[in-house]
Amino acid sequence: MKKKTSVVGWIALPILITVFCSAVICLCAIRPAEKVQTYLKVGFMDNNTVIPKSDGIEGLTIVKTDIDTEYSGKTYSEGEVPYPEYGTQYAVLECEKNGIFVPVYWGIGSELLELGGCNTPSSMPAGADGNTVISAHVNTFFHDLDELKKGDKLTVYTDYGRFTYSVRETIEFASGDKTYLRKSEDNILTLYTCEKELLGEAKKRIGVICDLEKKEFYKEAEHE
Amino acid sequence: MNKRLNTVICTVLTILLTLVLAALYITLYADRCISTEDFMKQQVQATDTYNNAYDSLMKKFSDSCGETSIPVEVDEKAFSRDWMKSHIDKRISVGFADFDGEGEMEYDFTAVEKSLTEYFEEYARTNHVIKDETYEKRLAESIANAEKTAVSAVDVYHLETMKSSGIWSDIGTARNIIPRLKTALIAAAAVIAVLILLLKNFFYWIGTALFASGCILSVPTAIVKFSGYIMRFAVKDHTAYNLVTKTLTAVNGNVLISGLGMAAVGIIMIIIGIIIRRHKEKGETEQ
Repeated sequence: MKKKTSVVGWIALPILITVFCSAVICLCAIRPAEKVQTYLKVGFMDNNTVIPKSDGIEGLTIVKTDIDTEYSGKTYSEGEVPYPEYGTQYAVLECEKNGIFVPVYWGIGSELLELGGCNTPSSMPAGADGNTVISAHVNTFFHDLDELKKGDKLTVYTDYGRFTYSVRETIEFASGDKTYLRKSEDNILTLYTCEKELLGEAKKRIGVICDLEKKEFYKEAEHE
Repeated sequence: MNKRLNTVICTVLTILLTLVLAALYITLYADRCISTEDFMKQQVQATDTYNNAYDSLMKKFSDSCGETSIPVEVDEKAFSRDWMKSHIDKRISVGFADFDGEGEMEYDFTAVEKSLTEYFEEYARTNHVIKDETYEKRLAESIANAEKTAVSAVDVYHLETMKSSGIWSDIGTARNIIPRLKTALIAAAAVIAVLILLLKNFFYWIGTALFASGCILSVPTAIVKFSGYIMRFAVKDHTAYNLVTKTLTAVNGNVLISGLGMAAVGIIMIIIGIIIRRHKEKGETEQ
């Protein structure tokens, strides 16, 4: 006599197949989902909206601003660099060649890193003398940072001017190493992010150092 | 064929068919959304964006009235609702023409220049202002400012920002891939379905694939819908917020309903498959 197949087995099988396929699709969809999120954030930025007191950090006011990337008026080689307020988006970093287009916030922290690149306050704002250090998450805004090569051009747009940089070298350093993040005599832009890791935390940082090629201030410096 | 081997082969084919069906649905939907400009224009129509964009533009001029000293009536003469509608449609069309390397957006600003020039001339006449270099410069600045504000208002999908950030070219690449991907997925689904048909219990396995792919589509979209994820999205201004959130909500809703439909059909086919199998086993046992 043939054994009857259990109905429970036949009902459970579709559920198991669903769970398995869902897991496969979730793994494959991680990167596209992050890209879509980044696109939505970059493509539709709020204009001068203040988000008061983010969770977990008292007193952090995040201000998103609309930076003009198509300024066509007169520019000057010298000008004043105002220090932004902590938590304010004060710039946009662009590299046309590989599609990097990142809002840059003055400050550091997880809330700001969710919204764009972070210009470390212990470094200089774009256009000022010294080292401008900007970091961002590798799975969102700086996903293509490792594709930058020597000679590639980047532009930082701000409300007070636009600054063109050229990649001088690519760098790699351990997560605790501050060598590349220190003050500098040269006017440079240091961009860095984590090395891409599928699982777990990245121990290495990768990035580029760029030389300042051109300063274009929108207002002339006031000579005392 | 050995029963167990048959079941294993069918399970593997069903897993493949599930992934293919889910990918096929997403591809077909993406094709509908981005292959032509119709979807975007339909969403603009459905969300009353033409009127919202016009009202938003007039509000911007009204808010800057104190700064520019130009009454909002001057701007109302310069821009009409029909102007806004035709330029929004044109902007979307040009965005899509851009994929083929064609299309340059041309704005009709004759009414703007006329309205502002007439206002300035009236002002100069009334206040005995000399039409010198400062006058001409101020007029040119006012016209440029009005045009720039209008250009920004017309770009309701922020295509310019998407273009500069490389997003629009990614969409263009996707548009090129979609037709071939569609063909490949349909062919793959057909081949797998035929293979399952040659093995036993077609209804059960195809039903399983439909149920699984339906769940894959409906569960994430249900989470997005009931968690209010889209509504938490902060967007530049009311017009864009309305358009983007309602478009995302519509897309999410459509995928959810389709997913639930596929899952329901799948469950029915699974039940039919189990009933057929039980009848067969009963028949074999009685023999």
